[in-house]
Amino acid sequence: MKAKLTPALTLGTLMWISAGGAAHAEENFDNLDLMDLMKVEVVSSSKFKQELSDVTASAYVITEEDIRDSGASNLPELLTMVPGLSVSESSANSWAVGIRGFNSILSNKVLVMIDGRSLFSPLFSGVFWEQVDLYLPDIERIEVIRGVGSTVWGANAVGGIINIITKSTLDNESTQFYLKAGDTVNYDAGLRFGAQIGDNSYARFYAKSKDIDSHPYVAAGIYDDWRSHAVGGKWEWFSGPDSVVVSGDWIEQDTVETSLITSRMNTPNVALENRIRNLSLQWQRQLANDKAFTVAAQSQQSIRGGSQYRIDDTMVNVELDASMRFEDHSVGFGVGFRGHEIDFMPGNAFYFVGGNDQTVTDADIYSAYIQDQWQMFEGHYLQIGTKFEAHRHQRSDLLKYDADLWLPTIRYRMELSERSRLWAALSRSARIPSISEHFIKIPIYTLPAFSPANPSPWEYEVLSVGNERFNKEKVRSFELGFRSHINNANRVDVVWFHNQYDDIRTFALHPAMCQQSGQPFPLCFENDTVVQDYTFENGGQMQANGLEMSWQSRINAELGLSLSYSYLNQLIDARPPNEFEEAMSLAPRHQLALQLDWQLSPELNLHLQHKYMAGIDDSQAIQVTSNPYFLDHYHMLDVNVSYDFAQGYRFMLGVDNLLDEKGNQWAPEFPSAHAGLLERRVFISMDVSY
Amino acid sequence: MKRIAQTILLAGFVLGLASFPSRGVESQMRALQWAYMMNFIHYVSWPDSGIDPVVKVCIVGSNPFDVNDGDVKLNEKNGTITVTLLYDVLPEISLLKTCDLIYFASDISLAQLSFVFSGLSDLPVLTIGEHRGFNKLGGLLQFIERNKKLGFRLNKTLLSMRQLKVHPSLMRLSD
Repeated sequence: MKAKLTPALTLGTLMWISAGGAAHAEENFDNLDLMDLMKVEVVSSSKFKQELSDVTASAYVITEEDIRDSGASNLPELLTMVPGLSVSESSANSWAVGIRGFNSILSNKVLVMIDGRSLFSPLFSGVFWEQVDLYLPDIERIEVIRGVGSTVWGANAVGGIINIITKSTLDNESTQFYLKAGDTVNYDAGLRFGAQIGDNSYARFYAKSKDIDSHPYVAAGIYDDWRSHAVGGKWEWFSGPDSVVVSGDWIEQDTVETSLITSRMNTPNVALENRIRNLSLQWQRQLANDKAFTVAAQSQQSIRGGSQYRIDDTMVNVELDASMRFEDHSVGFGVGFRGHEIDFMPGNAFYFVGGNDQTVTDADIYSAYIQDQWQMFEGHYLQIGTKFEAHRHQRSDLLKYDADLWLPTIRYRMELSERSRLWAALSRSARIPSISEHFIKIPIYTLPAFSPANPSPWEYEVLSVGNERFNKEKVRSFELGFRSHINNANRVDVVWFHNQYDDIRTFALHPAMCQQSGQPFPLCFENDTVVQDYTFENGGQMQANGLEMSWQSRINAELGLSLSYSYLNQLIDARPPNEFEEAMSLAPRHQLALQLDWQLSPELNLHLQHKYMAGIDDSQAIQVTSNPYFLDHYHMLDVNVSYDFAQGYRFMLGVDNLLDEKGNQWAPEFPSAHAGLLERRVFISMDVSY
Repeated sequence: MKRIAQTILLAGFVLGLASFPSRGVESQMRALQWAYMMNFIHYVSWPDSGIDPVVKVCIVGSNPFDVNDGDVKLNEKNGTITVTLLYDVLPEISLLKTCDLIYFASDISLAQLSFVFSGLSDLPVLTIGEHRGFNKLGGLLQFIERNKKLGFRLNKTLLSMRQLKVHPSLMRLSD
């Protein structure tokens, strides 16, 4: 570890020295007239991180400038810069994203929102990241809240929230297009057009398309190239106290899945065709300076499928939120309904418990919340609130699951000085079981008869079987944070947290049975199949303690630097005979990240991002499972050089993984699945707006 | 133990480095904006301004400037007195109507701006902000960045409908 920290410390020291030398002299503009003021060179205000002093949570903002400098083609690539967030590239079109542990390609403890629209799917509990194919230049900012956020956002915001906020149409009444190509990006192109289309009415429309090449794999014949095409738009209307926003997207994709492969698929690659359509409507009325309400409605249809299975998830969401201030209180409250109708045709890849005749499952959530921020006295704020959620999953009169939840939080913030804040939070949350955890059988692996691992004369199959008794996973969280704008150039954020997880997911292996004879193994018929089920159980506990530190600095007009370190210690245990799923529970103990923005000349900019992720192994779990788990550490260094050759015209040359690290960032969660290999990648891009 | 020591070392390094004083580029931008606003006062005439006018400057939202509530500043050029009033949150429209110049900080939302502008319509209040689309919503002066320099854009259509008199040279400098 010492050897790994030393380069960062050395580099930091060098930056410190250079910062001292480059520090600006005090400038006084008081006696300048307008003509002189207009000659003063400035650093774009978009380079300033958004004001986060008054957020009583561990928060990080990815700005539009960060997005532009990153050269990213996919949303998860942007998230790699966030301290405390683990983002592992599992294939060309899937990523394992976890906050404070629980890295999984479905991110089942992270809530992802776009302009208030939750992307959480109740079928598998999580997000298919490649389906979140946004027009990246239209993102205003991405707020990443690490830690429990259920009082506002609801159940499943266990590890944290990724809140994507797109720009107002007032921002981009212009034309913008980009084109990117490289080693693995065959092309990535987009065009956006914005215009005023009436009195107080503005709109923008976009179209984008990308073709991403396959990752390399250890074995031959595995590939994961994919294509995604999207069109969409946003319309806004402002009139006095009223504002209305309507937005929608239509995304068509053909992808090849390698990360979610069941043994019955009999192939390492599954071709999928995805279609995502969404429409959102929001009306906000400012009733007075201290009172406002918002009505929002969203609908979304997400189809994912191919020859092996097909998921058709139709979602409707309606919310009413209100806010008011009186005296020293700011109160927010609201009610909501979210309904999913999921038609899941499992093909040969999956099975439903009780047979495949009934493919439609309903999942509804009714919710209400109230939250008050109270300024107790000067510089002391107390935030207290709770959310109630009623979850209803139903496949038939017999197969259903109901859960009612109270999700309270209490947060306290103290202003130590004008620039420094100390905060503490106590929260409770839960993850609601997915439909698959209750009602679906997943063939995990099959061992042929007379094989080295199965010398018996019968084929041997292991299945994950949905368990109706599997209940919610719970967490109680305590966080203590310090945030300071030490001066106008330096900001520090330090958070310590302790999470106590109860009833977390484990699996229990049941005795092997002979399918045809119905007898316990080895009392099988001649051509029998031995089947062993494992069921999801609430048999685990985990204590997670962590420390997250970040420092952001605008050292001078040319140089910006951020350094972050996060430590996570997970103590996990499972009641016998339960076992843990390390791949979905464990996360790197150490993460170190460095980000540098250096304006080499008025036109030339260097963006460098380095991240070190410690390895993962079973020693982090108290109970070692029957399948040892290991993932090696890695360094990831990305370097981009951009050249602004005219106002609104930018050319970029980028190299991802400059150190050419080999190996995997992620280990498959299914034995039949595969993980893509790391490799160095070079790209060029052109970005024009006028 | 060794790892804990290394962690503490790193934490100390980060905190120590962060405490090293440095002139911030953000404060440079804000100081520049403030200087612009103090200049604007000389190019704008309010209907009831007398020989020695008192111009009331209000800041709505999180105050980004190095000025405090109640500051009284004497501009050395021509003796204009500016009074700074600060509001952490959106105040009542009736309070804002007493201001001559209002700067809206970036934490005031577009929907809130639309609400305020409708309440201030026809009043001689110079509204200033850096929100993109500020003028389109009904603001009178929007800070903009062009070629790494700070400039501004006047809403000339709306200005002509108010009782504010703007010096032609300010009009010429507008983007």
